[in-house]
Amino acid sequence: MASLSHSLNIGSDSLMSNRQGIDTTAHNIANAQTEGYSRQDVNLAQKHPIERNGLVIGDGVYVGSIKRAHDQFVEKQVTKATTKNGYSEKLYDNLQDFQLIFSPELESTVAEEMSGFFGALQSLSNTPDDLTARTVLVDQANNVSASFRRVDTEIKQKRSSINDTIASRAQEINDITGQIAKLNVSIQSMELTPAASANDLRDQQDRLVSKLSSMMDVTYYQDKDGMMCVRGPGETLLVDRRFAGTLECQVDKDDDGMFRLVNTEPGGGKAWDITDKVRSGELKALLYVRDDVAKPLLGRNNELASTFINQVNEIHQQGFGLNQFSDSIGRGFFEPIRDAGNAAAEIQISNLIQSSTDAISVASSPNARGDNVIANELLGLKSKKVLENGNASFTEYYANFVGVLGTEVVRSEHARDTDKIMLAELKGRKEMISGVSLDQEAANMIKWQTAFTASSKVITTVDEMFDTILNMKR
Amino acid sequence: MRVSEKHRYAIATERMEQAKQRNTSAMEVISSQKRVNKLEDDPVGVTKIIKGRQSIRNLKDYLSNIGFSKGFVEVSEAAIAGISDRLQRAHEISVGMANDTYGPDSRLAVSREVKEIIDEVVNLGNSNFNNRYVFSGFRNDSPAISEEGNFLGDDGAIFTEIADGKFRQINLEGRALFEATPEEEKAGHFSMVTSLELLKEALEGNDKVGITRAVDEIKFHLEKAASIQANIGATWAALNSAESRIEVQRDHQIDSVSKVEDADIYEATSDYKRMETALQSTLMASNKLLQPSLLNFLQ
Repeated sequence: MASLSHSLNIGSDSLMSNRQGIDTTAHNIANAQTEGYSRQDVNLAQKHPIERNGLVIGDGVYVGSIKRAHDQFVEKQVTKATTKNGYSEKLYDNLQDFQLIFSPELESTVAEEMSGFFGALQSLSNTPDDLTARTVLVDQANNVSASFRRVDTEIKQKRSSINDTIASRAQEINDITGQIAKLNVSIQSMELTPAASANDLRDQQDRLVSKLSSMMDVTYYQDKDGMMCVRGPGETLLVDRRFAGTLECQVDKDDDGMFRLVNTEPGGGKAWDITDKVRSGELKALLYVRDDVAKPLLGRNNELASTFINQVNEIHQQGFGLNQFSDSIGRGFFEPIRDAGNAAAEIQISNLIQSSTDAISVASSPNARGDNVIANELLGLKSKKVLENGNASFTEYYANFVGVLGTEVVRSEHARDTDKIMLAELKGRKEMISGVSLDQEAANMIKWQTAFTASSKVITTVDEMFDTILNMKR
Repeated sequence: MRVSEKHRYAIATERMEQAKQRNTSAMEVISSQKRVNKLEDDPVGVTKIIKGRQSIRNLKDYLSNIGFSKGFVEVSEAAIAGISDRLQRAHEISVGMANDTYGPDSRLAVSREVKEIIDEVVNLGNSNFNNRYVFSGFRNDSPAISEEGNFLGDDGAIFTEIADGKFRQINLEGRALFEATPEEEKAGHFSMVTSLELLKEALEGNDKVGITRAVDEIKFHLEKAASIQANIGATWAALNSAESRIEVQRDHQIDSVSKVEDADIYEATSDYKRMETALQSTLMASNKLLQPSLLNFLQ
């Protein structure tokens, strides 16, 4: 038979174990609103029974383990959805900025200013030697130039600010991977015994992985020691055991100082250019907008500007001006552009015209002040299909590429809405498993408290029994 | 199914946000009175708006071109009608004076009227619109004919755009009116003013043969003026019909852009009302939903 002190031990173990229950419940309640927290469960286990005099006697309870409620499968799905959501949300946000540049609300869009230019040309055609009409035309031409430059500058500014964001994201990614690697070490040292489970550290690591996965497409797994390995775009290694890779931004000289992303694998391994390998996540959205939205937009704006300048100049060069310009031809209306790929930034009214409106040359014959033939030929440009291989006029070309941008915004908005719902759905499923329910915790509290109270009764009872024994001898 | 606290709060916040977002967009439509405020509101519509606005602007330009052209043509027509009138009078004089009943004195007296007619014709030939001499071709900053009746202008044809890519000539060729072509000269004709001068000289010189020859000569100029006047009439009619057509087109275009761009204010208001109700009930429901918990009943 076991001794009375054995009974006392069972009581005190039970007291301790149920107190642990209250402890963990308190921990759960405290973290009910903590992002990424997984509810913890106290798993009580029977102690190994003892054998006395041919009897097997129960030895009470101990805390077998404290595990977090966690489903790896759901977690991986959430990670994937987070990546997609990171991509579509960032894409939509950034496209928003770009659509503002072309907002139909604006009065000074390229299209509006261009039609203002042709309007001024109409007045000039009616009164070719009128100083007012000429001055208005110069003003309008300056407005056209300003609107081209405005679009060019705004796109370039947004593009470079996106580029800066990419750099700071790379920095964040480095922080995150560094922390994941550090946590690998801490977790391993805490989980030396099989029962030990570094729940809170693992939650922390999951949180970091989730943050990382919102930035780019990553895959991860635990190696045999329970350490997390993370691979990024193109299978490049980001975290390997206690080492993290370094993501660096290298300036691309061929592309206006834009960054390329290069990952040096953990432990000073190989360096990979992953710029074109990133498939999803915020980083992909940023790269996509930078290289596949902003850049083509710049190109289209430049193409429109250079075609406009060239077409206007070509006709204008055949014209005679007024006064000192009345018997000579060969003047362009705009300064000739040096680089067609930079026309929107370069566009500028010719110096001659800027200093004297007499240089505006709309006459087809010398010394003829009322001659408007060239003005009329210039007017023909407003509906002439000179772009997209002779399929679009200036306005149509502008309307088309603005329309395409608009469609892209709408598409990204739909994708964002879908991905958001998907992510919320999956997070809901994860919450179903890992989230804290206060009602459940309240019920648990009652459960543990009752058991705790009962265990203390056991101890007081054993105490009384001790008294009884001690009082047997008077 | 377990329902965690965070999930409940997340759902409540999400719903509130959605309701608020819809409420805001509905408000934006009302306050701007526009259905399309951003590209994303209707990308295809935006394309239509941009093209439509350009087209409205063009049509307005054409209308103002036509207004200008009509002024120009009116002045030309008045001038040519005046010239016809004067020629008619000169014709009457020449026919009358060719008669034997008049002596040298009466002929000399009448020659003074012819002198005035010449001055008037020169004046009318130098009619201008907005300081632009209508018969001078492209050189319309200077008079079309000299005091002697020599044509000073050129053959410039002034066109204005009255429809997409459609230009119409609005000035008359002054040279044809005031100058005799080489063929006409070969046939024995003179320029308009020279013909009148000849009549004047014949009257002054009491030259009956000269006066008789002037009768035919002036008749020739009258006919020329009449045919040119008919041309003006055709231009005028064309401008008028273009004007009314473009006015219709413009109204139509404005209407169709407005259909894409402008909000139906009744629909927008009722949308807003609906969204507001939705927002309020969401807020109320969230407040009620988040309250109950077992903890409230634990003492």
